[in-house]
Amino acid sequence: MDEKKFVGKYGLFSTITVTVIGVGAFSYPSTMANEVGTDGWIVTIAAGLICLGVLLIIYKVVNKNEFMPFYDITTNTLGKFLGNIVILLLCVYFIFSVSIGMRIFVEVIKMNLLGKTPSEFIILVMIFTGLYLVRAEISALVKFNEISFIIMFVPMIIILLFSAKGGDVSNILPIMQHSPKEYLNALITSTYAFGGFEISFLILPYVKDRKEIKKTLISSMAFITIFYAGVVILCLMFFTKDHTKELIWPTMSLVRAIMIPGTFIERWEGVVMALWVFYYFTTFVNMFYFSSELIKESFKLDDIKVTSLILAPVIYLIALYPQNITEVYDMANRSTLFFVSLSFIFVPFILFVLKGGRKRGEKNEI
Amino acid sequence: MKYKRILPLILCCLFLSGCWDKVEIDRKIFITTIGIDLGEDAVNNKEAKEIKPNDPFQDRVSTKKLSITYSFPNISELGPGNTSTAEDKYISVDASSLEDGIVEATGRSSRSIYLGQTKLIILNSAILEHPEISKEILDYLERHPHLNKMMRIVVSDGKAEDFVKYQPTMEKSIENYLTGLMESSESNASILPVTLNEVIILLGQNGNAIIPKISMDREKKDIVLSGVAVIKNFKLKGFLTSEEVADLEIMRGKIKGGKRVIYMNGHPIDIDIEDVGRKLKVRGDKNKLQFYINCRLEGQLMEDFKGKEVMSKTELNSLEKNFSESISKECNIIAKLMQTEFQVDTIGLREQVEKYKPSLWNEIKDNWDEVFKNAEINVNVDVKIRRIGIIK
Repeated sequence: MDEKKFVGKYGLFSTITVTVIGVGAFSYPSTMANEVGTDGWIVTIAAGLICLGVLLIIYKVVNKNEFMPFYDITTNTLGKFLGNIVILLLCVYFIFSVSIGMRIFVEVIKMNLLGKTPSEFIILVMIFTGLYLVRAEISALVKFNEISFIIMFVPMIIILLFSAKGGDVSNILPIMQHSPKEYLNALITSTYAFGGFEISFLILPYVKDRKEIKKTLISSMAFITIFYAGVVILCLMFFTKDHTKELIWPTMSLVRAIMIPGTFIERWEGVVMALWVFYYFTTFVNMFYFSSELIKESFKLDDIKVTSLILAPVIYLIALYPQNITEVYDMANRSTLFFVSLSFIFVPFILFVLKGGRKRGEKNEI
Repeated sequence: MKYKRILPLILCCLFLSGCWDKVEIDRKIFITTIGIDLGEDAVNNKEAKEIKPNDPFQDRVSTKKLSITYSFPNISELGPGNTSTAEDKYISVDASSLEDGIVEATGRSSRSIYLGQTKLIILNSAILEHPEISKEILDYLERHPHLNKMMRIVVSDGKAEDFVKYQPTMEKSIENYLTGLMESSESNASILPVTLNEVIILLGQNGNAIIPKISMDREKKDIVLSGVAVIKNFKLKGFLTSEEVADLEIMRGKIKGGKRVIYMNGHPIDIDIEDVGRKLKVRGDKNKLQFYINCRLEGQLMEDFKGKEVMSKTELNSLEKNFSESISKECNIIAKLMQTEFQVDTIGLREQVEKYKPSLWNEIKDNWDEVFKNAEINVNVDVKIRRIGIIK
């Protein structure tokens, strides 16, 4: 196993952050404004804490099972049959969410940049590029994540800092003016935006320095939470809650609206669209790899190259299935609750409670 | 293994033969200014109301609702060796909507139209008389993915087309001229720069907003940017003059510069305003609200009367006192005007209550108009003359 340990601290950190922060980051402020108005950032921080808890449970589970791959952990704990079912359900969730993300990605590209290019073509290009990376195995994937992290966040944070100038801080007032039920609903929606950190099941077994894992997990979750909360606050500052509600992608509108007086770049379209590609692509390729890996194990296939080829057309079809952008978000929203409970609560907790293979057959205590 | 060498060639032919969205830059029109006027059959839209949403040939209805003028620089003039700014060209079309306008304009030009560089929108004030039409226009401006939300928006007193086609002496196009004017608002308090984004936000909240007004000086053939149009429920409620705008800006705490004057013994005494700090307090309950607006203006004495020594405590204090009282009275009058005549809260009182007194806001938000009308607004301006120039 030792020769397989090649992921450093930064590799783990960047893999988790780039997988979690995807196209969702662009529509997230609008969802939050619709649910709880100006309190979006508070809910975000709460959701971040919850997800950190789940992430640490995942770490405990992997740790107790001596850093076995995810497939082995699940089948050891739940038995072959049940374990396979859970894994397949997870794969369905991953594939479904990347396909929906793919469609959103394509819609935005079509609206802002490539108006006449067919959607099918953009999806194909993305899938082929993804395939190429997935077939290069996990070490290449982690290296790619490490590079992408810098490309994604350095320009984005600089751009967002510029935008802070045009806003009015008092627009994030008033705080705490909603009913507990609204907060609860918002919390559930918000946790969905953190989806993707299950990738740590895949990556943890490959980590070099196991003592540092806990710290790295905490810092990556903190980064994601701060990023999300910051984006929500900036959108509220700039657009106020009423207009943020109306926009479909407030973060994108925010970046596009930035004018830095006297600078050589006035319109940021190109920069933003390049970033947009990266935000989606990293999420896509990581989840794609994870599900290909799981399917490979589950069906006892030899190589991830085969499974990734099998999954590619599935993604293509699901991405093209919705008729329009409303249907895309409708599909995503309807499946939220089921998938969130499955992947955030059910899997980690069950594995946590039923640690190890010896306790197989015990009743589920949750 | 020969096919491995040929395959890339085939792929090159397939994928590098050009993309769907290719447009050469000199085949594009970059619209810089859009002027929107009412068309011939804007008022008479009975036909449009009678038609059912599923009837055929709806394109033929009210085709002359709007009259739109686009101005764009002729970029084929640009190039090495030429002057830096290109001459403006215009397209005027009659259309049923803004999108229809683009289609019409495309039909009249040999190039494809691109809206992403638009810097200025001139709305004819007559459009704001029709809230339905202004709502249509606003939705288009909000929804369009390419339109720059930071562009300036102004209301024209008169035909917008004339303003778009106006040739200012200083700049080559009106768009450069007006944006330049607005950016120099630091030295002129009566100019209120407003971006499309601000208008969208304000109108989205409750349909009220203020937009700067431009008018044409017929005799001098000059464009003046002065005063604002006050909009209530997407409808033009009236205009404020430039002096009133300056007071309004003080009450909003947004003034960036400008001068104030008082007369003493028949001589003008000018101060230059450098900064303003505003504190707004809300008191009272849902039946009667009291707003206390305390503004502190800081400035520099620019002009007095020769032979008088200003550099004494009493003299400066009396100047400050006179300025304070004069501006306070003005502001109170403007606030009253806003309450009674316009019934539009442009000072930002609504936001203040909503942000800092949320529980009170929940009680009054349904009849805010009434509450605002009956509220008591006290403005108190405190002028501080910090510097007096380089003589005593």
